Amino acid sequence: MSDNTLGLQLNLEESTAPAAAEESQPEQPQSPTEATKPKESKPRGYVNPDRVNTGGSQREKLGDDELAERMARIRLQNEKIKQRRLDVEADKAAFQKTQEEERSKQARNRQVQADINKKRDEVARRKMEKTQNREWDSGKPAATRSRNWAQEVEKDKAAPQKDGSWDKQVAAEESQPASSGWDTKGEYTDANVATCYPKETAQFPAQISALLLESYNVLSLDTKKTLVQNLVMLRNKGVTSSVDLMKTLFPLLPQTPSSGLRVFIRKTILNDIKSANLRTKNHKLNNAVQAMLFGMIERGIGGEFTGDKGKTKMANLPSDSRKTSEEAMWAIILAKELWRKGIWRDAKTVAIIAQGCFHPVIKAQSASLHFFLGDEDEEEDSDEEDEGIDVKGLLHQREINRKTRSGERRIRKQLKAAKNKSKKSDEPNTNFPALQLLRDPQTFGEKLYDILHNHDKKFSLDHKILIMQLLSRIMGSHKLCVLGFYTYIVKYLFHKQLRIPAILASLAQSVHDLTPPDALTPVIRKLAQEFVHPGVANEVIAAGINSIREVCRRQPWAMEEDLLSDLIEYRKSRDKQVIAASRGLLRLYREVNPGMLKKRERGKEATMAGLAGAAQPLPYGHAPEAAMDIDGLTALEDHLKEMEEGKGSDDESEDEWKGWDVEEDSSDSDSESDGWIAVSDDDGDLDISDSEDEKETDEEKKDDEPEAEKRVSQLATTKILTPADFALLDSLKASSSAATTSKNKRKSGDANDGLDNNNEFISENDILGPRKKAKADYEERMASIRAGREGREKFGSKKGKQNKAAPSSSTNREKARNKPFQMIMGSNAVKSKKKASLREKQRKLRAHIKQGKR
Amino acid sequence: MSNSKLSVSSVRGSVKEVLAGAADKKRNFVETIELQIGLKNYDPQRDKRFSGTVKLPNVPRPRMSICLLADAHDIDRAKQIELEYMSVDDLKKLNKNKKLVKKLAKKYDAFLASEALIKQIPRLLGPGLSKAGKFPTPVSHAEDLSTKLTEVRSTIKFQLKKVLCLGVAVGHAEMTEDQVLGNVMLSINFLVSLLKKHWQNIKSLHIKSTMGKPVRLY
Repeated sequence: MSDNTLGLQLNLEESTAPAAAEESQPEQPQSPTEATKPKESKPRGYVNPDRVNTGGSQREKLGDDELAERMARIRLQNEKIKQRRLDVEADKAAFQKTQEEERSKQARNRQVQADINKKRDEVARRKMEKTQNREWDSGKPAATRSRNWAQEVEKDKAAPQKDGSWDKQVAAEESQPASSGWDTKGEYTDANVATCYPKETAQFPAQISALLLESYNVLSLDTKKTLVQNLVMLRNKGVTSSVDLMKTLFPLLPQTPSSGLRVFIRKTILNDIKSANLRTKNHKLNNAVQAMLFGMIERGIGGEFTGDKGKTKMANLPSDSRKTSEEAMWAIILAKELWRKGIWRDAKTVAIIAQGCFHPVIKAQSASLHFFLGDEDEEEDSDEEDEGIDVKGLLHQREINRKTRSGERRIRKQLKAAKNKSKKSDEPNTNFPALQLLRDPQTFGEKLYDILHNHDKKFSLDHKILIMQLLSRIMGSHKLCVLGFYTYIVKYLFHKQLRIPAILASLAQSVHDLTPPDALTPVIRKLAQEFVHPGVANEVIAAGINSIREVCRRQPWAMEEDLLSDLIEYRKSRDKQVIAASRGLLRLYREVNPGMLKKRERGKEATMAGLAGAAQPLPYGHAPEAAMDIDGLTALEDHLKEMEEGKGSDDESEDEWKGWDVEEDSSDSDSESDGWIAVSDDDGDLDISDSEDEKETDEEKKDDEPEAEKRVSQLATTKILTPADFALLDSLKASSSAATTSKNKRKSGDANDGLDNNNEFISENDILGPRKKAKADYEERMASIRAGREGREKFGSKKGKQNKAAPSSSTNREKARNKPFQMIMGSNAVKSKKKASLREKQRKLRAHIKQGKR
Repeated sequence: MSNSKLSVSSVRGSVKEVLAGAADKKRNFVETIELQIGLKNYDPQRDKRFSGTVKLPNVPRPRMSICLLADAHDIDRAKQIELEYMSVDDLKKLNKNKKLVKKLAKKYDAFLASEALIKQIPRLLGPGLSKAGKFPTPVSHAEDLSTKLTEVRSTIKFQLKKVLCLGVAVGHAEMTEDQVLGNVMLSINFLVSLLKKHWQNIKSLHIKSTMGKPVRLY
């Protein structure tokens, strides 16, 4: 009976719908349920004005006058009653309308169903008769069906009763007429059977969500919870779509005061989106949800900025803006979560959170800022998985294996290593992909700067630093020019400023090679004035020089010559940090622009390079000259020439094309290399790349040409370089650079490291520099000693000693040792020792020594 | 599908094919020959994006439109060789208006700027030009403008954006086979030298003329 796909008589029933909706509910012969709704028709007794005319024995006794008088009175009364009823009805109508529609629909459907059943019965009977021709079987299906009907009727009978009680409850609670005809239990069953009645329950989810959305504050917690659960169940059964579910759940999140329900809703949303995107991206759902999230954030954007400092704190917010802030908060949380889980990794998600950066509410803003700075992700990730070392496995082993102290120590060591590893594995603590996916970084940066600048007084320092960090990272990675930032930041550059290392770091990050030097020069001057003078601590000087170095590494032209020579003088300071910082700056300028240094400070390499006429550093805005060829190709060619003269050396017997393709099978390339060896041995040709004839002719043609300065480009234009060529090229390049800087290997390595992390973000530690560990004073030393003692067992043997930690009785050995000597002086044990002969004593001693050795 | 090794002869063959295709059906313009590269084993979100410029032996785009952002001295020189130019006053008129700057950036394929001017460019024009990847190349008073122009015209830039494919113009249909071949070889070699894992980062190489069919090299 669950199947009514025949769709019979549907339009016919349309006409009966209004009739069914009426209060009096005329009987419909085919729907037994209508008769079973007594509660609903309770006030019906007052409705019928003709009631007095019916039945009753005393009516016989009345005279005409009396009757007329009474009739008039009754009519009057009736009028009053009618009036009252109308009021009541008007009050109720609004709330019952939906329910009645539902009911009428159900009734209609039931009628349809009944018709279908009837027809089916007939069909079944006919079939039965036809197939078996047994009379007694014909009634059977009908009987089962009627039984089912009976069950259905029972259920429907129960429903209105519950309705009634629910009405009362709500009315009592809110002094508001019944807003819903639903009971939690009744609904639960409805949701369960919803799939069985697709037609009847078509409106059901929409009604639940409407109920939730409209009268959310009125409902009690349990009801809300059940309603939400029902909705989720309907979604799981495929009655509603995900989008509809999301549309209902998202607005609920910010309004829900109960954390349990909130968590449930949040989990539901996340799981739903996750499962929708499991196989392939469900763009339809994603777009809908992202648009919703965007809207949630957008709604608050116009509002007035609330600070997190002084009077402007959140406390006196108007309620509507609080609502929008909650909304925005949830939108950001969900988007971040989905990003973190790798479900949404597209530009739209980033756009949502980028929008959140401009939200007037501090909380929402800082949540979005943290997302871009990538602060939270790392922590959570490290909690979730420790790659490399299987921590759980180790602990489990510890449970099982023998518990020794050495084992304990070993496991502690391993756990520590695992922890360190997980922390160090992903060092750049930035949400790099998110920064790259920003749609219009320039506008974003400008807006961010405007917020920072315009609301400077409202924000707390920590928040301002957050914004600065994000702004500077965006400027650095997208090479933006937000020139106002440099004038803005100058006012924070003094050494007593709180959190100055973070500010200095963000200043340095914001600089890149397209930053105009004239915007930076005042900043560097200020830095030098505030940080680098004898009146401040050595740490301050070091931090100042380090930050200047970081700025100049990115834009060398920001430095002035005399300032530079001043700063470099600090390498003669007494403090190690200052020396290191100053030397770092010197080394940087030896590399990028030795011309700015005095002659004697240029160092050997730079001087020699200068004498050799090395290229001057690129002036501002100059892109590096377009390469005529590949770097180091001359060296490669020379090398090839040499090899040719030496008839080929052994070190080239490696497989030329081995690295060509990772998927390539090795047998193929092996045969190739054999071919190559043959060629080189026979011809003594310099061809190392391939055994093909065309190639050789090319090579020869090239060799015939005179050794002009243009020969370099011809290697690249006439021959496809092989992986082996590139390997050779790399090694040649490395050896040539080593030849020039062979003096001090460590130094050159350092310099290279410094150049390599050119574009990466720097941390406060880079600004502070390597710090000397301060000598601990007495208190600190004692504290560390005490800490070391804590939980340690006493040194020495525990043989025959009482276990003080777990109370126990003293051992016999202990008792014997503590026994007063007077008591045992006369004992045989002592006496016999005194009396023992020398030989005896010797024997005992020897035995003791022997035992000790064992 | 892809032959694992690339030889000069096969490249020569593909170049011939492309040139023949272009000659077969003459268009109303000179078709450009383009090298298209697909990368693999590379995450543009995580790995550093590379960029490099290389000067090809033969000018691939002779008709590239160039504008000189000129100071007083360079204006005269630009007039002599009939190069389009904009003076400082013209630039000031743009008034950092984003739309106008964008329009300017769209109008020309490349920009030159007098050396004295280059420092003021970010202040005058804002970020519009560098956003379009057309930050002007500085030119000093000593340099010859016309050689500088050919240099700019023969320079190609490999720059990886958010996607794993890139294309560069390496020639045009009126070049000889050898010229195209040289350009193609140099650009392939240069690109491969830029990549961290060299050939292991290359997924595919195609050349095609503007209206013609793409031919797979690798």
